[in-house]
Amino acid sequence: MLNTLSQLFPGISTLFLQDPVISLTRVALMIFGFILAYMGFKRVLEPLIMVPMGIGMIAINAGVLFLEAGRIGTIFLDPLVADPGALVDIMQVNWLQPIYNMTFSNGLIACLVFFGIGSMSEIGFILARPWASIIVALFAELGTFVTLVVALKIGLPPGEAASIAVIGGADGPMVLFTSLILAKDLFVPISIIAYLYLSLTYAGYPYIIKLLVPKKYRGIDVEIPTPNVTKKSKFVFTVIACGLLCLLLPVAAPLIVSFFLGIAIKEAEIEPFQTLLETTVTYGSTLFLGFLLGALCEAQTILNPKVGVLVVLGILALAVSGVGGIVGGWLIYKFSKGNYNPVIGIAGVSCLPTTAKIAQKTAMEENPFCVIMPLAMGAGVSGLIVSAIAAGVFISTIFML
Amino acid sequence: MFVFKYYKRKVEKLGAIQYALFAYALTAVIAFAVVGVIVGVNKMLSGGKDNGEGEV
Repeated sequence: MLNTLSQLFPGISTLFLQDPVISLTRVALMIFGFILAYMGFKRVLEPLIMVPMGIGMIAINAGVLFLEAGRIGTIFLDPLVADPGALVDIMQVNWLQPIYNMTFSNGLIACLVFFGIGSMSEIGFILARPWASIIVALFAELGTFVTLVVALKIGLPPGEAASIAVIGGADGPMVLFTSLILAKDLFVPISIIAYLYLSLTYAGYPYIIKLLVPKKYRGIDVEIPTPNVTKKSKFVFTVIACGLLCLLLPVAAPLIVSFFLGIAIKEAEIEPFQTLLETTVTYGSTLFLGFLLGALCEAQTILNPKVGVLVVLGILALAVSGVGGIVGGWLIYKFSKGNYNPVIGIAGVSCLPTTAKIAQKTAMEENPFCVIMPLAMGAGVSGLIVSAIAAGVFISTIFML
Repeated sequence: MFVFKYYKRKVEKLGAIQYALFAYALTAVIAFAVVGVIVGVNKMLSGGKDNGEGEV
C-alpha cells in the first residue's frame, strides 16, 4: 500500500526518502520560489524575471520522481551531462535540456538579452557629457574590483572571485556570461544572487544616495548640453566602437557585438529587426532566462557551502559600486564647479534604466523641476560599456592570477 | 559539461591587489579609448561643431 502511494505521488514520497537536509532544502526552495514569484507579482521585485524564476524554482523542487535504476531526479534538465551520446539521449527526455544546452551553457541567452538592451539604448545620451559619464561609470565599477580583491583574499579561486565580482557592474547578462566561462560550477547561484540583488537596487540605492548626498545638493538643476548628433554619427561611432572593442577583447566579443548590433539596428531604423529585438527577442529570452535559472535551482546546487559567501560578496559588490558612483558624481561636481548633480553618479552603476530612474526620482523629490534623466542615461550607458569591458578584461586576463 | 577554454600564455602571476589595479587601469584605458572614438567620430562627422570637447 505504502509502495503504491509512493509510486503514485513520487514528489511527496521522495521528500521522505531523500537525505533530510536535501528534503528540507527542497521545501525551503519551494517556499522561497513562491515568495519570489509573489514579490514579482506585487512589483516589489522585477516581475519579468522573478515570476518565471520563482515558478521554475517551485516546479524543479516539487516535480521530483523516480527515474531508471531507482535514481531520484526530474524530467526538466541535467546541467552536468557532458558525454555527447548521453546528451543526445537525455535531450529526448528532459524537456528543458535542448534550451539549456543550445542557449544557456554557451551564453547565447545573455547575448539575446543584450540584443534587446542594445536596441532600446540611446547611445546619443553619452554625448551630452561624454567624459563625465565615463568617469562616473568607472567610479561606479569600483565594487567589481574591491569585491575581486576581497573574494581572492578569502580564498575563492580566481574564476569564481571574478564572476561574483562582476555583480558590481549590475548587469545580469554580464554576470551570467562571465560566470558561464569562469565559474561554470557556480554560475547558477551567482546568477540568481545577481538577479535578486539587481531587483533590490530600486529599494536600496535611494538610501545610499540619501546617506552620501545632503538634501540641498540632491535637487541641483544642471545645464544639459544638447549636442548635434545625427543618426549617421551615431551609427558610424556605434560600428567603430563595436569593432574596436571586439578587437581589444575578443573573449567578450559575443556580448559586445550583441549590444552594439542592437544599437546599430535602432540607429539604422531597420524597423522589422527593431520590433523583433525589442519585443520577441527581449521578452522571449528574459522569460527563458528567469525560468531556467529557477529550474536550475535544485537543492543540491544551493547546498554548496560557497553560496553563503557569494551572498555576502554580491551585496558588497553592489554597495561599493553605488558608493563609488556617488563619489564619482561628487568629483565631477567639484571639477565642473557645481554644474553637475552628484546624484547622477548612482546611474553609472548601469542596471539600465533602473538606476537612472532612481537618480531622477531622488532629484525630483527635492526639486520638482530638476531634469537629470538625459545625463543619468548617459552615465548608465557608459556604465554598461565599462561593465562589458571589465568582464572582458577579467575573462582575458584572469590567468595572470 | 563542456567548458570553454582558450590558449593561455605562461606569464608571471600577480597578487590580488596588483591584479585588481592592473585590470582596473586596463578597463579605464579601454573605456577612455572607446569614448574618445565616439567623441572623435561625432566631431568629425558634424564638422567640429559638436560639443564634448571642453566640458567634463
